Formats: sequence, structure tokens, C-alpha cells
Amino acid sequence: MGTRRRDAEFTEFVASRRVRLHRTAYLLCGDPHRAEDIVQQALAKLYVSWPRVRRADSVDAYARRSVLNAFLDDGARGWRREVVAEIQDRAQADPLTHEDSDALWQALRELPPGQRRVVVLRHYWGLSVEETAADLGVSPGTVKSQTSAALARLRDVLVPADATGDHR
Amino acid sequence: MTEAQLTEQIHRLAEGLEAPPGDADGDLVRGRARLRRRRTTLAGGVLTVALAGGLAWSALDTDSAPPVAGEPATIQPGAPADLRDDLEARVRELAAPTRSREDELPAITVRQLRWITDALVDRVSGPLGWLSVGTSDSWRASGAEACPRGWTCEDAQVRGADRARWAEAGTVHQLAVEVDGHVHLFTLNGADERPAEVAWGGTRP
Repeated sequence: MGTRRRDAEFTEFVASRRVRLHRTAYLLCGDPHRAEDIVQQALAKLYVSWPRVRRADSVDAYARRSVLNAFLDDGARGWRREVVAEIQDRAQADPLTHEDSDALWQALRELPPGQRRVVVLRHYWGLSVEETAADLGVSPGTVKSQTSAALARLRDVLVPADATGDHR
Repeated sequence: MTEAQLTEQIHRLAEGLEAPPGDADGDLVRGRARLRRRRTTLAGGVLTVALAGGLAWSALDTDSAPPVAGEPATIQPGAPADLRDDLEARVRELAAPTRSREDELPAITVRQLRWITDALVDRVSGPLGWLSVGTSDSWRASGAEACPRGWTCEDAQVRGADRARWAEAGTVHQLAVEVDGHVHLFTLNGADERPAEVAWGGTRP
């Protein structure tokens, strides 16, 4: 594969997927600046591996996995840089109300990284259990159990307010 | 909250996240720089075809190659430190004879191999009589997603790797490692012989 073709294909991919990858990273780490770091790192790795990945027709999966792994590599920092300020900054553009958004961020923040990854892959990317398992290198049973556990935790955080009729 | 409700909520949340303006040019520059660094590292002593004596590593990912290629090489039994010494010594012998096409670039750097060696040494104790290394075209093709009956499998932490996974049964250990889209499969046996069974890669007597 020539450099010109590689560059053209890579640039086209970035144009079509960058926002989604950034949002994926943002949902995982809760910090837009870290998300940008993660995406930049993932895309640089993708460029290096482009001929192989392109040939295998697995560009999306590779990019997604790179984001997930970059998040994990950076995982020691977790959610320590909290996102309250960012939530306030972007509240106006958020289709969710500020309260809903805040509650959901709080719920996501309380999920272990593994469950958060499953939630993002299944409920943001819309991957099946099997596809999610393939991305994460785990069994479908693990994905199912993590999905179930994540839902239970989210219910714990989100449902009580709904049950009381409060608008969150 | 149902799964459908969660999906809706996640999408609404994501749609509200401000993403920076697309910077494809910047991504291209960073990608090229990473590729240059990688090639520089390779020129400094990276392997294409690994461990000597009919070794097992092939970075030439031809479409016709089997999912996991390579003939195993035997190392002398010894303490785990011997494994590190042996790997590093052999890696230094390796040069990249074919770098005319980017697709033929070696699949792994010496630094990455050392990190993998660290993981092996940390995990495997006791005498080591057998080592083979293979490559696979993909994680799925390596078989590392599955765990055959009789094996214990778990995710492994290998610095710099995209992902890694252990399989263990008796004296046999396997480590599958994906680095920049290349999958390497290490098979070690405490006994001084080729394992009769392996979890991944299909190495058979």
C-alpha cells in the first residue's frame, strides 16, 4: 500500500469516525482532555497498523479497541479528575437535562472500568454480546454478567429518584 | 432501567458531548511520526523472523499463511532468568532482511519483546524446557478468545500490548499478545519437550 493511498484512506476514516471515537473515550474516562489524548494515541497506532487492519477489514474494531486499551493503560488515574466543571460547561448543548446528565455521569463514574467498557460498547456502539466479547477478548458470558451487573448498579443510582417522582 | 432505556440515555448523553473539531491533519502527522519512530527502532535491531534455529517468528503476514505459523525451538531448562537472557540474546542476532515493503516490517520491537519477557518471567516459575513463538493474523485467528477444556485462561497485563491472555495447564503456559495489530503466541513448557496439547495456535507433535 502506497503512502498516498494510506494517507487518503486514513484521513477519510478519521473524518468519519473521530467524533464517535472521542465520545467513546469521553464516556469511558469522563474527561474531555484525557479523551482527546486517548483518541490521538489510538489514531496514531491505527495509522501505523493501517495496511494490516485495512486488509483485515477491521478498522472500526481496531480503532475501538485502541481507545479501550488506551483508556485501560491510563486507568490508574481513573475518574480522579472529576467532570463536574465540564458537565456545567456543556449543559446547554446536552440533550439531557443537566440533572439527568449529572445523574447518569455519576452512575457511570461508579461503575468499575470493565462494566463501563461493556456499557459503552453495547449501548453506545450498539455491539452484540458476541461482538463486545470479541472486542474485549472475553467470553460472551462475561459480557452478559457485566452487562447485568452494570444495569443493576445503574438502577441503584438512577431509579430511586424516578421512583419518587423527582425529575432528575 | 431497561437495556433499551440505558441505550437511549447513553446516546442522549453522548450527543451532548462536545467533541473538538476534526483534526485529521494532526492525526496524520502524529501517525506518520509514530511510524517513523517505529521504523527507527526497527532499524536499531528488531526482529522479523524470530528465535534462531528454525524459530518460530514470522512477521511476513502473507494471506496464505496459517493462522499461527512457526516451528518451535527448544531452550535449555533453567531458572526463569535464563529465559530472559536467551530471548534477548537471540533477538540481538536478528536483523530485518526484508524491509522493502511496509507490510513486511517486523511485527515487534525489542523493547516490546522485553516487556513480554518481563510478563513471562513474572508468571512462569520453575524449569523451562521448551519455548516456541508464533504469530497470528488476528486475535480471533489465534484462538485466544477461547479457553479449551482443561485449561485455565485469564487476561494478562503486558506493558505496551493492546491485549494479552494467559492459558495454563500443568507445566504448559501460553501467552497470546497483540501489539499494534500483530498477535504473538508464546508457548512454554516446563518439560524439555514439545507440549502434547496446547490451548491456542494448534501446535501439535
